[in-house]
Amino acid sequence: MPPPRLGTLLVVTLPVMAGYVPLGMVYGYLFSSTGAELWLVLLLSLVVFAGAMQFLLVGFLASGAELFEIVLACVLVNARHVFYGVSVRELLPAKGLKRWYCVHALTDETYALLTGLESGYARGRSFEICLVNQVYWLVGSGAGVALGLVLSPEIPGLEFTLVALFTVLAVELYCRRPERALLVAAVLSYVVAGLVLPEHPLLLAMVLGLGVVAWRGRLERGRFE
Amino acid sequence: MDDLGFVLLVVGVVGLLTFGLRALPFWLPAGFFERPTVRHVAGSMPLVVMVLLVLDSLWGSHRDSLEPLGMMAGVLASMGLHLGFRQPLLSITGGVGVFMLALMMLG
Repeated sequence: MPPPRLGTLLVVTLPVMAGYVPLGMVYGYLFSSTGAELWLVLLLSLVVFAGAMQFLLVGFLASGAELFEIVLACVLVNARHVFYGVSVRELLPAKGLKRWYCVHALTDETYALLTGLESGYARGRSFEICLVNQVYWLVGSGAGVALGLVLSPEIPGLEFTLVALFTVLAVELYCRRPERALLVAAVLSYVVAGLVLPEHPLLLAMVLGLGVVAWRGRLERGRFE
Repeated sequence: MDDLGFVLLVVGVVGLLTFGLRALPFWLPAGFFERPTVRHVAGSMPLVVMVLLVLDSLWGSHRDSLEPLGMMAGVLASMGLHLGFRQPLLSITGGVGVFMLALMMLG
C-alpha cells in the first residue's frame, strides 16, 4: 500500500486535532502547575494516553494518593476501553507492532473516528490515524507546559475541565443508549453509597451500580427466554 | 511530586493497566463478548460509571463553600451545550467558562 497522503490524513483527523490540542494544553498546563516537568508531562501522554485518566492522575499525584486508589480508579475509568477493541478488531493492522501500537492508542476519539470512517480508508490507514492523533495530544501537552511559563501559575476554575469531560462523555453515552433506568440506577447507587460511606462513596457506588445492571440484565433475559 | 520513584511507578502501572484493558478483547475468545449478560453489562456500565464520576465530582467539592452551586451550573451548561450541538470542545469550554464565571460571582 502506498504511504498515505499527509493532506488527506490531516483532513480526516481534523476533528480529533480540534479536541486534542486544546484539551492536551489544559492537561499540560495543570500538570506543570503542580510542579511536573516537561518530560514527565510528555511521558504520561506517551505511555498512558487516556485523557480523563491523565487529568485524574494530576489530582492524585498532587494530593499524594495511594497506589491502590489510583489503580482502582484507572480500572474503573478506563474499563470502557475494553469494549472498543471488539468493534475495531477488523480495522487495525493484521499483526505486528503496528497492530499493538493501535491497541495502545485506542482512545475514545480515535475509536469514534475509526468506526465513523468509511471502512476502506480506516482499514488501510488505522496505524497512521492512531499515530497522528497521539502526536496531536503530545503537541497539546507540550504547548500546555509552555503556556504555564507565560500565564499566571493558577487559573481558578480550570480544573473543572475534568468534570466537563466526564459530563460530555456521559451525555455522549446516553445519546447512544438512551435508557433512563441507567441514570436512575447510577443516582440511587450514589445516594445509598453516600449514606453508607459518606467519606468515599464512589467505589461502593460503582459496585452497587454494577450489581443493579447485572441484575437487570438477568431479569430482561428471563423475560425473553 | 517529591517522590520521583513513586511517580514513575504510577506512570508504569497506569500505562500497563490501560494497555491491558484496551488489549483484552484481542486476547479473549471472540465468543466471550457475545454472551448476553456480558453484552448487557458492557453496554450499560460505561454510562453508569460516567454519571457516577460526575456525581462524585459534585459531592467531593468543598461543601462548606458555594462551589457545588458553581459546579452544578457548569455541569448543566456542558450538558445543555452537548445535547444541543454535540461538539465536545464547545461543551467543555462552555462548562468551564460557566464554572469560572460562577466562581467569580459567588466568591
